[in-house]
Amino acid sequence: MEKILTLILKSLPLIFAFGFLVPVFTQGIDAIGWVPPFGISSLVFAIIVAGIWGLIAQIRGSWI
Amino acid sequence: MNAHSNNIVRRDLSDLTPAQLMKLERQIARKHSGDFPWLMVIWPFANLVCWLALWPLVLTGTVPLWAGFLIATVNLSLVYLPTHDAQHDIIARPGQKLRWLNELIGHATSWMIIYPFNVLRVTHLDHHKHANDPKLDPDYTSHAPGPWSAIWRTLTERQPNGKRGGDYLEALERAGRKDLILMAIVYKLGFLAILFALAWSGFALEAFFLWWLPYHIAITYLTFFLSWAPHHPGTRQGRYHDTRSWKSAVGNIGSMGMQFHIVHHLHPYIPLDRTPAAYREMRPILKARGCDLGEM
Repeated sequence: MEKILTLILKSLPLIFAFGFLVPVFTQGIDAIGWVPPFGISSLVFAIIVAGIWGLIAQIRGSWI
Repeated sequence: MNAHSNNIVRRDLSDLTPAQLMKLERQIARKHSGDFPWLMVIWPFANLVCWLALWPLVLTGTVPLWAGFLIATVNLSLVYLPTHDAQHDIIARPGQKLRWLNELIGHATSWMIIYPFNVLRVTHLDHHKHANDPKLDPDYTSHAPGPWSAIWRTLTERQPNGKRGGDYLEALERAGRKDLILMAIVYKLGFLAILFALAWSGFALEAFFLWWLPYHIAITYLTFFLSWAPHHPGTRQGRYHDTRSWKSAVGNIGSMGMQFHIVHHLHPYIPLDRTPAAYREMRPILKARGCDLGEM
């Protein structure tokens, strides 16, 4: 249990990126009516942006 | 007592001994404490009901999201102070009839800012005990050379590699309350689970603008006015030197009564709304003690 909890806490930036930022970006893009480039959907665009940001935050230990 | 206290304010206190000054200071503190703090009982529950009501009002389109965001930001900024009075047992002390109300105020509202009430209580009492101590004050990470750097620091301290969280855990360990560490984790993961569930159910923007962003704005605001400003520059320790009075550009309400934070550190059992009056009466004593009174 403790190992699982530690793993979750250590991976929080990535978990937060996919658990929260992806739907926030997707629904935000749809709400303002913006069309992502190269014909990709808002969901795929959000996964790419949030995923990269989350990965950077995971490695650096900071979102900013 | 009132007339006596007014005499204290007017007279020259330079001839009094530290013991005599302390006696007068305590008389004034007692005068401003002990009454039932109605404000601190109505405030948290009104604030909680208002914020909870926002969710159905925004989700049904009755209130626009932008307005909900503004109200939620005010709501979350108002969470801390009633819990703060409860942390100091101001509503009721252990053993008193209304003790349950004191604890209810803390537990029923602190979850909105993702803290278990007892974590706030233990770490805050540790802050009082060790204010401005670089190693032992759990709020030491709010220190910064100026207002903008203070705002930036509160943001950086909330990052995964921030030191503040670790300082809070150490304070809990020192207090022998390791059990609260698990509770704090449960609150944090519970918060994220609710955000994720809302977000993937199609309410990501509502979760973002009614809780996540207001929470971060509120924590920034609270850390600035309740921690950085009243302790700045935070280089001295000791009863009369680890905090100060100061003139806020946004007034006493805008700075949540923290202009008179020095009175709170000296006599933490005085309710928030009585600290300005207590300060005005204590001012000559504080001056005689060499306190930093700023322009107040």
